[in-house]
Amino acid sequence: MLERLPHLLGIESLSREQIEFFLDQAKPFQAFQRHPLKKLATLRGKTVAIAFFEASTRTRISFTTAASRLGADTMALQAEASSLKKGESLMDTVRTLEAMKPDAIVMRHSSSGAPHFVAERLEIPLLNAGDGTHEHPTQALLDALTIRDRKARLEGLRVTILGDILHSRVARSNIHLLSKFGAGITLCGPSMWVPREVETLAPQIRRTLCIEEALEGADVVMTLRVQTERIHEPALAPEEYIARYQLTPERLRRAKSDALVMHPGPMIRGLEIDDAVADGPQSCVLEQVTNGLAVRMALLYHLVGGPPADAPHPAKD
Amino acid sequence: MRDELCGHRSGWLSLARLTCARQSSRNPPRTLGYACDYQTVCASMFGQMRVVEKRQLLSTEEISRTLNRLAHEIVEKSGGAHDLALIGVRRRGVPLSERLAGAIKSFAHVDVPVGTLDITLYRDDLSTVGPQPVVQSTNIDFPVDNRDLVIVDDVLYTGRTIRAAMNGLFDLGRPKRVRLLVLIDRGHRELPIEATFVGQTIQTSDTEIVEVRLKEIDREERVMLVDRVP
Repeated sequence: MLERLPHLLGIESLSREQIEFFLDQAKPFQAFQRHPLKKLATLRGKTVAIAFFEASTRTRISFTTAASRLGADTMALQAEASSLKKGESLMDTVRTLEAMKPDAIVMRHSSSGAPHFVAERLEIPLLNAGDGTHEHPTQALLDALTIRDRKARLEGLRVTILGDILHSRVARSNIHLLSKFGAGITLCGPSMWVPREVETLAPQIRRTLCIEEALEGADVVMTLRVQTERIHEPALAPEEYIARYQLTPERLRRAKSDALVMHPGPMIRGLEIDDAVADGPQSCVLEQVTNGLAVRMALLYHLVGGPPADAPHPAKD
Repeated sequence: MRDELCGHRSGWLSLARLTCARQSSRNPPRTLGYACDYQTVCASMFGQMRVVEKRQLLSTEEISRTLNRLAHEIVEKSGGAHDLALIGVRRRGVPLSERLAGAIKSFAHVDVPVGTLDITLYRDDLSTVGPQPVVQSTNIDFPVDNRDLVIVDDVLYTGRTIRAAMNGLFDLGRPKRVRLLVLIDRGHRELPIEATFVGQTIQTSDTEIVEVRLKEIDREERVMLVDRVP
């Protein structure tokens, strides 16, 4: 039974119906991005705290723009996460946010589970904009919307995810979502970044260390960024990564001729993806960005809109 | 306008189910001033509110004749229909606007463009009830600037839906003129809104509901006046 969602913390706990609901709800907001006047009064009077404890540009701007276009005000909280005092600073975080009394929080944090910790302690809706290596639910939703728009379905598609799966919350959220819809998932990258354990994330995941094999017959190719800030020693020297795992036009030809090329961004051109592929006809990266706005507007509308949690129910007179 | 709140897939139906479950059957539904308000929809869907049909307002044939007459009126009062466009308000304004455009095409041989408008994001009552109603798409693929627009809806009640529709239209451009066409005007205006083209005007009380059923949506075609039973 679909319930009003109190928070958006991850894809894993969502049902297929809930995901489809939000994908469908993103559609009118896609059309909205083409309006001459992109400003609604729907969430007027609401304040959304954009609390990013980890560097981000595109996700932060996307959420801020989504809230503003709905008419809400935003509070920008940007803080460097101290790796030494994780527990302490998180409680301080909670107290600070609470003191400002926003109507909702969008939070990104470098620790997996941090948004869940905060959501348990606050009454207001919380949207996870990425927590550690755990989940990035809005990315998976916008990716699914992009795929569904181009391919008309998710079921039965062959999706290949390339790169550092181990450290990727984008990969995890996508794996949860795509497996709920019956897509076939292939994970590929260097062995240190694609350990055997990834096969347990969802049923019927194929794992391979060979990019040619991974791309064979794929309908969708998702390339992940090489995250040099997450690991202290790269598993491979860049030249070797490029030689073995870069998505080049030649390698892309092994996928279906109408396969989609996707990337959560930002792309490191010349490293995980070749310029020609990034700018080629199969690339959906810009569409992903636009869809990100639509998805986030739909989520903010449903989670932040409406009466506050403690408002009296209108039926109780 | 009624079904856009309850027709969309399972999501809204389930959300509505939860809302109704919490509603006490002893409290009368609070009228929020829309021809179709959440409480009415929820309660009527799940039988917590009993309704009785008082009388039929328009039969299938009468709806057809009324629309035909209205189509002629539009052309008469639009001096040539050159910049004319019809905007159907979701949900039942949409088939009405399409039929009107079809009628105008057949007797006046003019192609009047039709757009559909979803007013959900422009409602003035979103902060008073939850959960949020499902948003449907607005499809107006012609420019609104300098157009002679006629908003088409099934029932005119408090006028709040039309206020919201105008907000939506003005976000898209600056029309030359905006007029309103409704199948039924049931009185009880709460805003200074009037319809230029009216199918039928009837007096109603607050507890009554005007039910419009159109074959494109309801698989039957008639307009009834129903009353809530306490």
